[in-house]
Amino acid sequence: MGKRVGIPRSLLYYIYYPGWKKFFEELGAEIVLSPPTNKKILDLGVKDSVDEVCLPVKLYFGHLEVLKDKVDYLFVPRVISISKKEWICPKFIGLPDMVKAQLKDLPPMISPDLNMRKSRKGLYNAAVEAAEPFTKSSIKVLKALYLALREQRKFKAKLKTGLTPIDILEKRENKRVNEKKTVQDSLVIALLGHPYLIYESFINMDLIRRLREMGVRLVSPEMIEDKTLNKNAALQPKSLFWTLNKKVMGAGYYFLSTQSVDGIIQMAAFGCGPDALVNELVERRVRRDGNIPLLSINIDEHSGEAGLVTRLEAFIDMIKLRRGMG
Amino acid sequence: MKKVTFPHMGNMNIAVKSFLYEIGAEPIEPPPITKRTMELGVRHAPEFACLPLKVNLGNHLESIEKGAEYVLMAGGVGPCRFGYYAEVQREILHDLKKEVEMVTIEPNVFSIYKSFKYLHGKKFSLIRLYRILSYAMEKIHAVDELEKLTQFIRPRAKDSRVVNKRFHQLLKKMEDAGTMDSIRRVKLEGEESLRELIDPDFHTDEIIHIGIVGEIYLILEHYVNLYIEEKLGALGVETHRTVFLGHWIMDHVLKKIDRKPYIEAATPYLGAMIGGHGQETIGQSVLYARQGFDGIIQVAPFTCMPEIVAESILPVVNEKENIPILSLFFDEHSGEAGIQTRLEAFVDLVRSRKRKKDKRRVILS
Repeated sequence: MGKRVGIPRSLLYYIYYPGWKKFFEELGAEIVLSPPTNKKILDLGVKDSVDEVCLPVKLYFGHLEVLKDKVDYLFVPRVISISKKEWICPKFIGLPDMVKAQLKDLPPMISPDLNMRKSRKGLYNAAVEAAEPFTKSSIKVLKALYLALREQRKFKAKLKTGLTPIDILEKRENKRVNEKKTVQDSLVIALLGHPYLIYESFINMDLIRRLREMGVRLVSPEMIEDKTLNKNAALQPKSLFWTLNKKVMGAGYYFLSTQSVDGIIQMAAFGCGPDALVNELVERRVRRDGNIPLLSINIDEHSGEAGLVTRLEAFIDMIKLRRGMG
Repeated sequence: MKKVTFPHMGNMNIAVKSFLYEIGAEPIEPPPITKRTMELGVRHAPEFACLPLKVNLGNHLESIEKGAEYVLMAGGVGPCRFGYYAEVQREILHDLKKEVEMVTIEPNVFSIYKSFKYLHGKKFSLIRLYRILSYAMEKIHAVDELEKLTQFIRPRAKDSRVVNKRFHQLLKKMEDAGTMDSIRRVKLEGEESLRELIDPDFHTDEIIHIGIVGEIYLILEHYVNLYIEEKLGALGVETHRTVFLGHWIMDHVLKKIDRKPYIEAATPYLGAMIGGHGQETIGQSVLYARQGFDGIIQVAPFTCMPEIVAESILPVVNEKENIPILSLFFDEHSGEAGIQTRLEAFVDLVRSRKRKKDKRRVILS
């Protein structure tokens, strides 16, 4: 049996898991994924972190807590930049250090620095660093990286067909295909926010399922081509330097300029720095335009289910009325 | 002449005003920050934006009432949110139907020249810009030096309030200083007049030394940090910090500061630059601990990303470097009484710890 590498089902899992899994398995490791977020994970995460830190990082800590005793290594990458001249956010850069400072009795961590701010070569360097416990051979690393990138491309292509990352990662594809028949003339709602928020069904109280049950067809930034996202994000005179938020902003502006959705639901995590500014920009443009209803949801660890469901239902009812579907 | 405003940050107004005046613009100084400024900013800014954005916005709005047509803001390349402030503020002012133009200076020499040429209206030579910049820098450094001396005098004076008052009188004089010579004269005379306030009967051993680390705006803007340095001075604390306006410009614009010492000190605890002052906060805390300081206070705005990372890591510094650390996060609801109590409790703790240490030292020797 290979060495067990623990990957928290949190943060960048929703974006890079297929690639990471392939990479480590190619090197002979066994992947252990933490369970979907539950109350215990949330509580552990809240207990471990300082009050001020954002909810997604708190959840990440909780996932590490339930993983740490079951694995030989924890995969906690230091993701500095995944795009030229851009960043993720300071908390991703300081993540391994925060984890070391706040969590006790951790197994060794695999924490490669991923920095593609200057060039894409940063990806190779990160792969070499991540592969250190398994192999020193750069040929093997290159092969694993190649296969991982291929897996990642397949995943990205699938997203463009209207599936969400969880549909794919948690193999709910078939069910979705059946649903497709009924969506001909349903409402189209754009869901904007960080992938680790809009697809994190525990923390957003199963928002996607609820919307689908209301007969809504969802579109999200992941379903749109990067080129389109970047082109629309360029509407803002100064280029945004947070890659993840740039995608969200680009998607928001795209839906606005094409008027291709019936409503926009925008989610922010409590304590998320970039969200606080970028969501404001999107919201202001949507309101100026005045054609597309927008619902802003701020999520923290105390969010109540009843409140959210009521707001959601009212929002969808309002849109249906507008469209004469009530 | 273009009517140009700028946000407050500590004593920055003194240099910026002289500077704008020199390049041929009409500076519109925002009124001093008051409760109204905060309220204006809070009302129109995003709820979870960090405090400096809100106060800046309040400054802009109050300056616009005074007739400002241009807003001068600094930019940045991230990942700290400050680099995107101007974008957000422009959109907010636009929606409020304020007809102002945002002029953003990115932290590079080219952008500085471009923005100032624009505000000036016509071409002007690089030599002239260089001269004006040197003059402004001279003023910034002089103000910083006087403030450093104030930090030293406060705990040593009979009444620290007199020190604060004298420092503010000096700032007024510095505002009027129009030439290099007069800047230097005000500085020299100011230093002398501050030194006069030292109480001849005081004992050096009674002073405790606390390093202030954290986010630059909250450290420099005393109204917003509820005057913690003045409060500490009154409690017999000599405060120290590397974060000054002049130091920041030397570091981030002119790239003349050697960052190696604090980066090396920070690396075992925080192995990467995380934007803002995050790594500096950790590195400087470690250095202060090793230099024998008695305590450290981290100052930052609520929801500040780099400082939250630093806050998460500081407990380890506290343990391994053996130094008490207090983290203070400020938002628009922070109250003076709460801060005063926390500072007093912290200073008590630091002082009793220092006495024990000193006693041990006496026994050992």
